[in-house]
Amino acid sequence: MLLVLSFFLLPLAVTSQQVNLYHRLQLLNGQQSTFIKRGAIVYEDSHSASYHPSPSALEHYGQFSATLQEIDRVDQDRILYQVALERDGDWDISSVKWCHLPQISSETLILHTTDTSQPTSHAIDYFVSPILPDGACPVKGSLSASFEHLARLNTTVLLRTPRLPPLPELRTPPPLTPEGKPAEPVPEKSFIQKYWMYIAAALVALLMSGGASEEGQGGQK
Amino acid sequence: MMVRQSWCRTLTLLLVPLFFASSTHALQETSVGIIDWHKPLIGSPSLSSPATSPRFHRVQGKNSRSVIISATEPNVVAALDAVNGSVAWRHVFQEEDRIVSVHQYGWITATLSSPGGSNLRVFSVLDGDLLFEKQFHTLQSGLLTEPPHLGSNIAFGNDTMGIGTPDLFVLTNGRSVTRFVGRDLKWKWESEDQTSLVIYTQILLTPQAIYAIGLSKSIASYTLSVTSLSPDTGEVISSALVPSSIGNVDDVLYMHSTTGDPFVTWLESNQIRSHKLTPDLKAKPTSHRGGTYFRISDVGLASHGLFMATKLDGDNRAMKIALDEVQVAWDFERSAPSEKQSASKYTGGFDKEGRPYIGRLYWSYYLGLSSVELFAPHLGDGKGLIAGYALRFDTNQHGTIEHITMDAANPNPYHVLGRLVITTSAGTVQLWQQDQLQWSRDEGLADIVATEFVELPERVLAATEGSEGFVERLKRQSVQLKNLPNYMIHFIKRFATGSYESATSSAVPSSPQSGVASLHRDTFGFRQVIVMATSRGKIFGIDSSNGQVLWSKLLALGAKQAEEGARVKPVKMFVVKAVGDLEENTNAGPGEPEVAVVAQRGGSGSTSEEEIVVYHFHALTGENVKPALRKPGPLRGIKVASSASVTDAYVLQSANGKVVVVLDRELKVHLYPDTPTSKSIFHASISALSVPLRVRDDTTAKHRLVGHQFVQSVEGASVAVAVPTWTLSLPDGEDIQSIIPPSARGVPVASLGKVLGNRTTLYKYLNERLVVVLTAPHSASAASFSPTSKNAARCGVYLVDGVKGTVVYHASVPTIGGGSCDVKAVLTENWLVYHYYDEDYQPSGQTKGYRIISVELYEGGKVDDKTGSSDMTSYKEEMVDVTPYERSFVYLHGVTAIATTKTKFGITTKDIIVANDNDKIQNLNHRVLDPRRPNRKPTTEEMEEFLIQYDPVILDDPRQTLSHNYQISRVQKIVTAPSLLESTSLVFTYGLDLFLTRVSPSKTFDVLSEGFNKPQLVLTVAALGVAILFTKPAVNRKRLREKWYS
Repeated sequence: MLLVLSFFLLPLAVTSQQVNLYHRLQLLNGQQSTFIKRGAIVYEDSHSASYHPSPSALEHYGQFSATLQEIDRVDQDRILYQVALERDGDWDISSVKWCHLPQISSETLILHTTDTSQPTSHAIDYFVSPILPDGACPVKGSLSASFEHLARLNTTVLLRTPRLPPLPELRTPPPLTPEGKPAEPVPEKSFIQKYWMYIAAALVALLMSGGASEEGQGGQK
Repeated sequence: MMVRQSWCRTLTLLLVPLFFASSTHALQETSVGIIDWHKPLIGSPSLSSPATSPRFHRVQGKNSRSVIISATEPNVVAALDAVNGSVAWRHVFQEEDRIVSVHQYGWITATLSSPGGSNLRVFSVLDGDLLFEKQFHTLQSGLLTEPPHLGSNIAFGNDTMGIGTPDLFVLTNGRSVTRFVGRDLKWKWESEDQTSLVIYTQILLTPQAIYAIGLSKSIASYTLSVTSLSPDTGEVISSALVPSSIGNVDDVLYMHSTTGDPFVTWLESNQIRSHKLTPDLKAKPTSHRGGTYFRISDVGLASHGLFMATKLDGDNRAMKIALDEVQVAWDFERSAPSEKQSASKYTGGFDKEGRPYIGRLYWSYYLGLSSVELFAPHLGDGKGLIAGYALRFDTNQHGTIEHITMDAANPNPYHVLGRLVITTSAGTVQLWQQDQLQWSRDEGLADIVATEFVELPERVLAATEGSEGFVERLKRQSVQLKNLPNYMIHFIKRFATGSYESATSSAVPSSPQSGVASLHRDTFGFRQVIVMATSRGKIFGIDSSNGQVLWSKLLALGAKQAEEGARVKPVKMFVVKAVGDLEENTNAGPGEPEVAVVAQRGGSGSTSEEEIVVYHFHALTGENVKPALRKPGPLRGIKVASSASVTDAYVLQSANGKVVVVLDRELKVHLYPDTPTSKSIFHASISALSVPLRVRDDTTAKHRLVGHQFVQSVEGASVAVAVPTWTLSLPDGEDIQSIIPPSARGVPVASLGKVLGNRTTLYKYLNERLVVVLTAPHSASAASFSPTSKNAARCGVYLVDGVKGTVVYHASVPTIGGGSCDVKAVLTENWLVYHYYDEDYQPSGQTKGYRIISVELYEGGKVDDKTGSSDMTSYKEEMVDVTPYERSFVYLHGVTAIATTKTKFGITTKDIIVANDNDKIQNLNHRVLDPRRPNRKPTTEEMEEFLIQYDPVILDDPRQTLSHNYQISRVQKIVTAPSLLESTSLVFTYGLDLFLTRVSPSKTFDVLSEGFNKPQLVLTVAALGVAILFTKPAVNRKRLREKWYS
């Protein structure tokens, strides 16, 4: 019976989970717009996930751009492109500057998760590349840029789990006897005990060779 | 080239032992009290109950001595010497072991602590030696009552052993009475009816019986219940309910009459009723028919049958129990509060002969003085006598008087002298002998909420205040010219003998000047003013060279004064003008340093609204800068916002000055000073400003980190509003505990990397926008997580980029007992150090204990990888390209506060300063906590980096202890500040005590040591000079000859 139950439960356990990703344009001094679905993150296993964009995602960029056209004076540096991770309760939001989008070739989604057995993420970090080291907006305006290149965007999804702090590398405790007393170390052999055979051999060799040369010397005299 | 390199290496190897020797920072005994100071405090007395409030106690004997005993708000029991106000002794109780009552008799004092008075401790009253302690029940089985002392008490019996120690009768948990003879338990009686609603609250002793008196709760009132016990065996003699209907537990007094008979007195339907206790409990209650009252109160004279009663018209009477009835001892006529005088405080005390007195103190609005009346019942032929005087109490500086206690002397029949100990709303404790102030203690300093170091100006600048023309300067300098010979002699003498100041010299000025003129910095900038704000609405300026209070000011309540329970809560403090900062008028040059305290003030009523106020004052005098009108009184604040409270506050620095930016609960921005210049400074930098805030989600009651940027406000009183731009949500069950900014923010970074022994480089990850976020299991979710389950709640240590919300480092550490977290962390440059308790030992096979984790972050994935993190935007992906180097160490103690040293240019190695639960301040050298310490003997290359072999245990080395043998209790925060010497940092700790010392992590490399032989150097130079003089002609002759004959 248990085996049968396990058989049915197994596919459920290996079925990949997914979580939706949303995005929007945020003008800091304007009204907050609503998030639109951008795609989905599919957890392939506990260590990897992939991003599947929504078919209409590309159109959204055009809509965002059109929104910007309607506004008279906009500080490019302060227009944010936000990506939100759907989760129970409040969604988690990460932002980049909108002005970077027209020239990017890749994006990275870092999902923070705690439990590798149940791949659900609590936070997201979103990055786009390449951008200038100081994060300044490109000189060329981004308000009327085209966003077709975003369809070919190289998207990387990374899963990050918290580190467990290292443990102190304690010294090995002294060995104990079965009675719980510290085991007496085997007394180390003395130099003569260790090497007596070599010494003996050397002595024998010395004696034998020494006697012969003395005789030889005597004969010469 | 190779030869030079190997020579360098050899030299380095030779120097390594020297460096190890220099890494020990043992405090020299000769420096104690010179480079450091310690101000032991006891905290503001606990005034919520008479059982814990201050009282005089005189120990009779050959050398009669008086002390003032009190329990205090930080859970300390202490005795102050009545002569000079010094701390005779103190015992700091653990936080969870709250003191519920303090009792004293003869030469002992006894305390009961924890719910139900479970812990009894007996001390010697003069020296505080712990004589014995006893636990009656566990913390969990303790009776929780309000007030906390209800249900526990101590009565002192006779000295049956003849050893000078009275027998103790201890009532605990509202139902047990235990008798101790000496330290031995003689008997214990426990109320049989465990489910009864009777809570025994008091015990009265007579030779015939012990009376345990309790209150039985009925629907709307309490009924008295008395049980008489045999003093020898503890057996019940009799038990009875006394017909009574008492509205409030405070309306019952337990006392002995003037003849020593036990009585219970209570207020019932505005009538004072009393009941004499006899072993058979057959007596009937009687009523006092002399008036109607709305309150009776104990003044500490219950053993002499005296108490106070307040009539319905507000006037007060001293009452006594004599001849088995309640009588009026003295009528304090016209003592009701009126437009002429405040409500009166009453207290009782004794003289040397043990005769009782009653003291009354009130504030006279007409005189602007405190008036004192002393009532001596035994004088005036037994009718009583009143003596009076006035105190010049400075209410503008110390707040209102909240409690008084007294003792008295009666040198002749018509002369009564009083000593009054006053406790004020600002936490000041003062002793007045008649109208003379004897001593004053600022115990409010145990409640510091904000502090800043303020550098002092140089002496010359302080002396030449104001503008000085050319002619004036010429005149002044011609007058000063007469001092030139003296100066020259002094200079030559100093040059020859080398009597320079060293890093271990005292920073206390030698000149006897006082006032602002004396406030100038010393040679190395060790003398600074530490400005502190307390939670009781008072600010202090303290001299960092000796810990003396330079000035103190009360923060004015303004219009909120009239509201009930009005108080000022300081939130943040900023140095808005430091020495060297330009004034708004650049021609005026540098002036006095100024400080601004952002506070919120308001009443405790439900309709009361808080307002945000900024108090702007001179750091050297505590006088108001704005409003500029100088008149005596509390420090006046400038209202920044009405009906608002502070979320956070920051200081914005620009070339044109500093602006305080206050963010209210609705995330509106308010500027101080609210001037066009401030607005232009703020708007100029608005696009670059970003702050992470801890935001509460109303639905889940949890917090998460939300990044905000500012946008210009189009309407309303505020200049701008903060708009959320990113969020950092936490794992389920976690909640934000604290956000810690990096400790060395604003201090320059001296090196961008670390060159290794093999000539490669590790580039430091330098992101000044990083903040440390500590998380703990949410209180609501902690219970749902089992500590043993796989999903057990854990504590989190995050390093988060404050501009974009990127998680750069996240470590998960175990909780304590499955629910709480006590992680302490500090971040400086690329170095994070955190301390926690690890009881999660089973999976790892290790022992439980305290751990210190040292983490250093470096750019890239390997050595020589360089991303330029110090200049990089948060939006660049490389900002997460980090490699952490981690090491774990076993630390032997819990830590209450942690900080890093701070130096002027950031060149000196940074050390970690910790305050441990062993009441010590310790210095942990970077070399000890270096995460790159190898597990084996270091190689030659590693030795070049001064790496030492890894040792998992940080031993309790006394040489690391900065606090000498002082007991620095309950340290809440460690503040470090740079001095003018790059090598030396000032370390200041506060909590219960105040402590300051100096540390030099890399030794005092920039100043000559005291042992330097200056005369020898001078003599050598002089001798060389003389030798040159003699040899120069000979050399010249030789050269000339060589030219002729070459």
